[in-house]
Amino acid sequence: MKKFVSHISLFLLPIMALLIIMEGLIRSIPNDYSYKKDYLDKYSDSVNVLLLGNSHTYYGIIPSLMQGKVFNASHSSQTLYCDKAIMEKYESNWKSLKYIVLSLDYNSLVANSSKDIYKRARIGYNLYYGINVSTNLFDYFEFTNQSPVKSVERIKNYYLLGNSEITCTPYGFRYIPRKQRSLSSTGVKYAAQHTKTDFDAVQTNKQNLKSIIDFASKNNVNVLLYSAPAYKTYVKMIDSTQLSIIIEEGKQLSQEFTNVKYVNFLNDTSFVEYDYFDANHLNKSGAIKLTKRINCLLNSDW
Amino acid sequence: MYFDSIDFAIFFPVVFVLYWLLKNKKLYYQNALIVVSSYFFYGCWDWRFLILIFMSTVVDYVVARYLDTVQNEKSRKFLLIVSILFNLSLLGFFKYFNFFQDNFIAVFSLFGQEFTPLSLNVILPVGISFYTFQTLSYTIDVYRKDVIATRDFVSFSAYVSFFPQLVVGPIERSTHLLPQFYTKRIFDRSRAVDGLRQILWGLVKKTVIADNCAYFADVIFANGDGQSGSTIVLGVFFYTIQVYGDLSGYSDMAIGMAKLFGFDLRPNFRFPYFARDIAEFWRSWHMSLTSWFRDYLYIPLGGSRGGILKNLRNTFIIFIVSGFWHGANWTFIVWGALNAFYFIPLLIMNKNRRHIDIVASNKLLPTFKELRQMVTTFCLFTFSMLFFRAKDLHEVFIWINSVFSKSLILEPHYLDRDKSVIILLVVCLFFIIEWLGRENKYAIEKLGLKWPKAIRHLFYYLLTMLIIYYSGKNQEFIYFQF
Repeated sequence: MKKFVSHISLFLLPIMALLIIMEGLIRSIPNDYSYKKDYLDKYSDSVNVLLLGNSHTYYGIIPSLMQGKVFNASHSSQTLYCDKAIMEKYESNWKSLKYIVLSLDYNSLVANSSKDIYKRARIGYNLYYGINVSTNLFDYFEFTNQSPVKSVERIKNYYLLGNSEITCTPYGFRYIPRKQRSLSSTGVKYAAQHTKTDFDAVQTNKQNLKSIIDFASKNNVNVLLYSAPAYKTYVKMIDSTQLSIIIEEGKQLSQEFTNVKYVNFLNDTSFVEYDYFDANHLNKSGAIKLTKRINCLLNSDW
Repeated sequence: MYFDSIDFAIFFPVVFVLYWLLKNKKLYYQNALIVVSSYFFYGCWDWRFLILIFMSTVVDYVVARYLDTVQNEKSRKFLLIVSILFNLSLLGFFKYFNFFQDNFIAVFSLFGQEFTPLSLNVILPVGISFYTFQTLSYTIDVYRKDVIATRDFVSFSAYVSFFPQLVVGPIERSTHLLPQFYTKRIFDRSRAVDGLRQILWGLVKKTVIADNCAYFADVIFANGDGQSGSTIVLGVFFYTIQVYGDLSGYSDMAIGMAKLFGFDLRPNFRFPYFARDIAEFWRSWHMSLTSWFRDYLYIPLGGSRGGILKNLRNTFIIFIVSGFWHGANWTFIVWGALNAFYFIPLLIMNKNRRHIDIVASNKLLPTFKELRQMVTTFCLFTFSMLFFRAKDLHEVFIWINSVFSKSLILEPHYLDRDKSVIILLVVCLFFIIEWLGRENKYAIEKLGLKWPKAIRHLFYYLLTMLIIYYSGKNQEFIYFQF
């Protein structure tokens, strides 16, 4: 029996070694998460405007069109827990910070900080950002979260073909270069995906949001909370109770804190069909429009 | 927890090592470990399923004990009926509730009666069809006095829940598996190595063959309504290979794992795609299920005794019931009936047992006649798989309409067509290995045993790397839904 186990272990050893090498190679490929972490490690002390939030900020606000040194630290499915963790991680570095722009969307307060972050993002935060978003051991390895076919492809693309995995601009914004998707079907799909039947996470998310605002208040930083524009096919499908929680919270915080502003673009008719990539995300033209509006708000009276 | 998942790759070695560490203790501890690990394995799907399997175990254990002590024939019959009703009620409720309700509503709506369906949101517990049949066979065997009712509840629980074969079989018989829980298991290295080889081949069947074929079958049938006849034919070909790779791969893994624990499970497949007629095919396809229906349904109905008409009737009954066992849908019932229909000429001409030997035994290649017979049998079964795949009869008739149209001679057109050529080549290579190993229990049972050690290990590495390369698709085993 012992001999059998040792033989099997010996047989598996080269395979394990190969997997470890592959894991190491994949982890060494720079990606959006490692890029943003590196950027904040180096330059967080000089950032004036920090953009936080989920895909609405990631694809929706263009730092290069704004005044000052602006960095977009958002990601797809980034929750308020991650936003807070990013703020805390560089707590002593935000010496030049004047504004925080944070998306407060339909699902922001109901999203579970670990379950509602999609798989790729969980790996990103756990491995590259140094923010632990899950307790599942498998979420700390690349090879347990993608097929080996995909791993080999990634290694080939980066090491042999020299293709970068960094998809964001130097200031953290990501363009969506693809063609517009069906606004009707994506509206239904995303509304269903973002609508929750339980509001268990609301209190935790409110506390995370409050922590960000408390930090901002202490350090004389203004906070702009915004609900991103969405196409009517999405808006008409969402749950009014869940939506009211977000809107009420935004309004209440802006009344309670002098350094907080809340603006709701959800039903803003200046964003037209042409501005959307899908019913829940803006395309480049929409992003330019939103960035200008945000920029105006930052430069207005507080 | 799937056999080809990382979770299982951690779970299995832990149980294996613990199990053999207990070899010098009482047999009771090893059996108890099997029960605990099997319940953990099963509970990973949904802990509520554990209640069902526990209930099924307790009821059949108790009923069998009474069957053993009661001498009165009427009381014994009553006890048997209790067990059968209990098991079939579980199956009926969890698997067939929605089917019967939908059909009940449909029939009454023909007469102008409208009913609002009850929405009970019943979920199908994984493997219920398998372990229900296994426990049923136990009480029937005790009733028939083929086996003595066990007084060892832990051994019986281990027999019902043995995790290698719990969710997709092979469906074991109490006469074969249960006594193995009473005897001391001794670690046999050559048997364990054989088990590992069978697991390896099972994993190849699942991850390399079935999962890749599943991708193309899914791509084609996702847009099945608008596809050309030739594309549908290719789609059902991929699906037929997928089902074989999936279920026989799982069976190989189950049998291999059981060998590692010192158990012997019944074979479930014997190279069915090399069968020369449909009777031979069904003797080598999902053997543990077909033999269950033969022993507990076909023979009690009279089997082949009583003339050709009775034999035909009984054949249709077991195939229709077998179809219905697969799923609560008319498509499965028609699939079963169609396979029974294929039997008619064989039964009429009394030729259903003409191929009981191994095809082209001791020869490298089959004769032209054998090849023609194998291709015909494969095509007949593949055609029936259109019913197995479809979500309803309307869909399958659209596909058949497409297959028997001019579009059958058009070039197949589907997503990632170029990639599928590689998979088709891999499938060809797979069947060559299967053909070469058809005289054994599984294709690579004796393959490479006489090769130099280095070459043999290289071959195992190649297979392992293929498995790892194609793994991670999280493609569910098809038979989990049954």
